[in-house]
Amino acid sequence: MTVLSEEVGTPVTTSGGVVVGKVLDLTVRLDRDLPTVERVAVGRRRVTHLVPWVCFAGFGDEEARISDVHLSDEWSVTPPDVRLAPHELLLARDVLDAQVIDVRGRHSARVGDVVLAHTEIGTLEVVAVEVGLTPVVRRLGFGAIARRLPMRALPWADLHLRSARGHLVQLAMTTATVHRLDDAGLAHLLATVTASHAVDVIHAVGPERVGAALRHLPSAEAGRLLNHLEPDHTERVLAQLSGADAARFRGAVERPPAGAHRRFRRTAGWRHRPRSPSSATTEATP
Amino acid sequence: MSSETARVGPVPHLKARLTLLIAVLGPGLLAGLSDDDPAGITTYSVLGAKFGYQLLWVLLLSTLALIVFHNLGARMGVVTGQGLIGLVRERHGVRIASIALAGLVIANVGTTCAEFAGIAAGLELFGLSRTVGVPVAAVGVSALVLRGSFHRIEHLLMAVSTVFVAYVLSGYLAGPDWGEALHGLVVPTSPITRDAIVVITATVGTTLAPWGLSFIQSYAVDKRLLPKDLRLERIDVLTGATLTGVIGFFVVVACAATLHTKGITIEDAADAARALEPLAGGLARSLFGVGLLGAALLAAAIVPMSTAYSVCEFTGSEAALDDRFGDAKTFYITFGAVTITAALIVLVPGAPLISILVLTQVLNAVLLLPLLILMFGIARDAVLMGPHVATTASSCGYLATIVVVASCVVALLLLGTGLVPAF
Repeated sequence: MTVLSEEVGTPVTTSGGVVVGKVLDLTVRLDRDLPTVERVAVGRRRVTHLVPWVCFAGFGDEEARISDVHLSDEWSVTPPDVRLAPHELLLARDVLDAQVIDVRGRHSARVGDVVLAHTEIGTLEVVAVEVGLTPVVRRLGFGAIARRLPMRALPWADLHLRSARGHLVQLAMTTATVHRLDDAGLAHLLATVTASHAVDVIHAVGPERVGAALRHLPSAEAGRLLNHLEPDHTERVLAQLSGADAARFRGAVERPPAGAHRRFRRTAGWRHRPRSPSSATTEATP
Repeated sequence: MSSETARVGPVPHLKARLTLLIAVLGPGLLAGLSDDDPAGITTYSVLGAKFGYQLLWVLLLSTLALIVFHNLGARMGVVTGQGLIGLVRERHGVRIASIALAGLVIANVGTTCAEFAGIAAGLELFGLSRTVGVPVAAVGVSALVLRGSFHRIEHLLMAVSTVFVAYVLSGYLAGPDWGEALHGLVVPTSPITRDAIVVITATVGTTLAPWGLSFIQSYAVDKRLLPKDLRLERIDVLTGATLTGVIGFFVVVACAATLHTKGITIEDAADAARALEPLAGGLARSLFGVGLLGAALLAAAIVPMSTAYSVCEFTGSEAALDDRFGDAKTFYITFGAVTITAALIVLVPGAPLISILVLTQVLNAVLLLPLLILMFGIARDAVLMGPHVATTASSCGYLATIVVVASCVVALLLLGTGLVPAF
């Protein structure tokens, strides 16, 4: 087992001991149960190459050794514009220090480090992310103190990434965490991410599941999300709901969005009193 | 719903827009108005007492800088859903974020000491003891944040901030020369002396406080504003920053019209309030004192909140005013720790408050420039900001502000280290 922070910065050498660069990052492909390292970003003097994992004869123990291959120009990339496959993301850029949602425990965390495991077939897999203060202390150079602190890890399968690319790449996978959530878990996720990310999730899981999840949210929060959708998508979601639920959420959608999720007048509850018998009104409070 | 209910008719268009605006108001108002804390009021009082109306233009420039960067902070929070320290960690890694957080926490504890010192000074103006008043204020602020919901906290804090009208009234009571004040506001002149550079830098630093920059972003996240609210949020920021400048203007004017003309020097805002009485009457003194107390209470809630948000963003923990204690322990424990520590320091007899406050001002000034640069980098990051990335025109505005702040800090360093002789 190793962690990403200990691999980044590792010198990359040939079998003859010539240093060709250092490890800057690792790409992983997400279209598997556990993401496996696909390529290694090797940097030297402002030139970066994405070297396929299969080119490495050894990785770990403070050294990364590549087979005798020439660093092809085909592998050359120009950060920050790094072309990745649709199922691929960079661990240090897109996962390390990014916010994640633990969908099982239903809380947010920030990735302190990424836990990697060598497999019997020679691949390197992401098994978990480390959160809390321990990885921070270790990465700040206080390894001796960090070894005395408890380790807190979240399994990769329970995570939803909140970084820009991580979020989109995960959603594009059929194995994405969001597809394995129950209604309450999906509701929690929708309420936690930003509105634009929530829209992405809604598009990924479909109107039926979203309708079921919205029942677990307060009307105001559901209205906030529905207001951010395009009108035809909102209608498709509302069409999945029963009469009472649909009416409740439709009312939340039709209210001004910024006023719906906060009561901005303390007196709103008793503002509307009948002024005359012919104009009796009652406000439907959330 | 009552059986006698008739559907309310369509809401008038203007009323609907006003409704939307009122619902969005909060981050800009609170972040802006809390900048007029005791340290700020002291700085403006000294500005007016020492230099009269001459340096009012510094306040105008500071207010413009506040509008620019508070607008950016709010936008960053709304678009990314993260606070400033969280974004710094995501973009620059744990080392830089740790340094920024450590600096913020230390400076914010010092600033909170200043707020409670301001509460103590304000109470003593009215003959009330700090040994009772400060703990009551600390408990009251903590109870509000711990027990209150987001909207209740916001409304109470906005209600507290209405005391700032007292400064406007005391400014009028001082009978200023409005022509000279306007001249000082728009015509930039300054003596090239160490005192002037110090006051100018202090004015910029107290208006564009680091904790205010992080607060507005975190609060916009907690308020759950959407990108479609950004246009209205600009109005919120503009209103808050403008009110900050207006209040500062009247504080300067009140002191310029009275203390400066009599050659009276002051050390803090309480001195200013006391000195106003023989010159502008007991009412001016009382109003100044009420304003000081209200400003201190508001900031005593905002600064620890800003610290708690920053710590939680760094660790990735939950941080929302609507969360119960059990769901956001890091947030509430941090808030409580900062508040209690600051209140205790103020109550310790013989505590070196002046040294703490001076060092805090220095630390805030040192922190400000790197934070502005970090914010500028994030604003230009298309991966984080998406379609809301800073345009070339906006970037020029941010850079211009950074250059002005850097000039003040560099000038102060050069004078302070003796590399440039003081006049």
